[in-house]
Amino acid sequence: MKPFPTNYAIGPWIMFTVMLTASSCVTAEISEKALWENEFEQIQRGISTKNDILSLLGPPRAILKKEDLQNVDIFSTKDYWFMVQAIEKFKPFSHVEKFTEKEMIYYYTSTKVQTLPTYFYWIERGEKNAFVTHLWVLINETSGIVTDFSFRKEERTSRTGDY
Amino acid sequence: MGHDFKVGESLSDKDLEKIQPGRTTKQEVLEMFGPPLGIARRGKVLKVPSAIQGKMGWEEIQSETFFELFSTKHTLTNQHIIYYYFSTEASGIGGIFLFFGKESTDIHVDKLWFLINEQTAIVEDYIFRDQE
Repeated sequence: MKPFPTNYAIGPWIMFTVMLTASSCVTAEISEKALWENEFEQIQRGISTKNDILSLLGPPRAILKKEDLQNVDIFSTKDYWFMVQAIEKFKPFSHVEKFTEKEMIYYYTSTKVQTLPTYFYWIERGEKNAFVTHLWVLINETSGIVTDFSFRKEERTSRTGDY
Repeated sequence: MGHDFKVGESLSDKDLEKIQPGRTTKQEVLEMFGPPLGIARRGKVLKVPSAIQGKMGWEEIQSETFFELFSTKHTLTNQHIIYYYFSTEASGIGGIFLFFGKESTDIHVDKLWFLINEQTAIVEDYIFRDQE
């Protein structure tokens, strides 16, 4: 039997191989306040109030009233821009006419980021997958009652630093 | 492998019970909590630092979203302002195993809003939220 080659410093190479294998599989999940589906279950159309929503989820990222759609300046705000883009993309409410002067939309969003793969944890991360949840709550301003709500989930892929 | 970061003092450590809506003054809030992270005024956009996803950045917030918090209990006027405080703490638990590694970060966020009447300099209400 051949003797084990001791004239090479194989220790560091074994360690390198193990760490490369391991670190290439590392995922990191980072989330801001998540919008959990069990929270959505607590929202009831025609019953929940504006106050219930604020207690449950805190202040919305943006509020949209019908008259805001005529106000171009408001869309310079990032959150408004995102909200309107998301409304345009997902059309959360089946009937556009539902959104009347008496109603407003609370918009919530949360992002969960998953980083994979990691070539070396301490050097550089590769692509990121972001799981974005959008929630729109339609509220009657006069009664304060939630008339409808809708949520969508989307996955976005980006390189490090995009989110 | 673990990592932590912290922004601001944990607000839950502060004695919020000392705050008495209708009696506590703006000055007392400043003495207790220091300068706010942001001051919201109706119709304005608020730019505040944020530490979302473990990175420091800036966040633009429509002040109206903060005023909504108090809208059902108070008749809000242009004399009302909101002092906004926020602290966040993240602790990461990670590990590298032979063939699989996973890292997760728990973020604890405390947010505090004071509704203040600028004319009287009195705190009319406050809301505290802590999120895990």
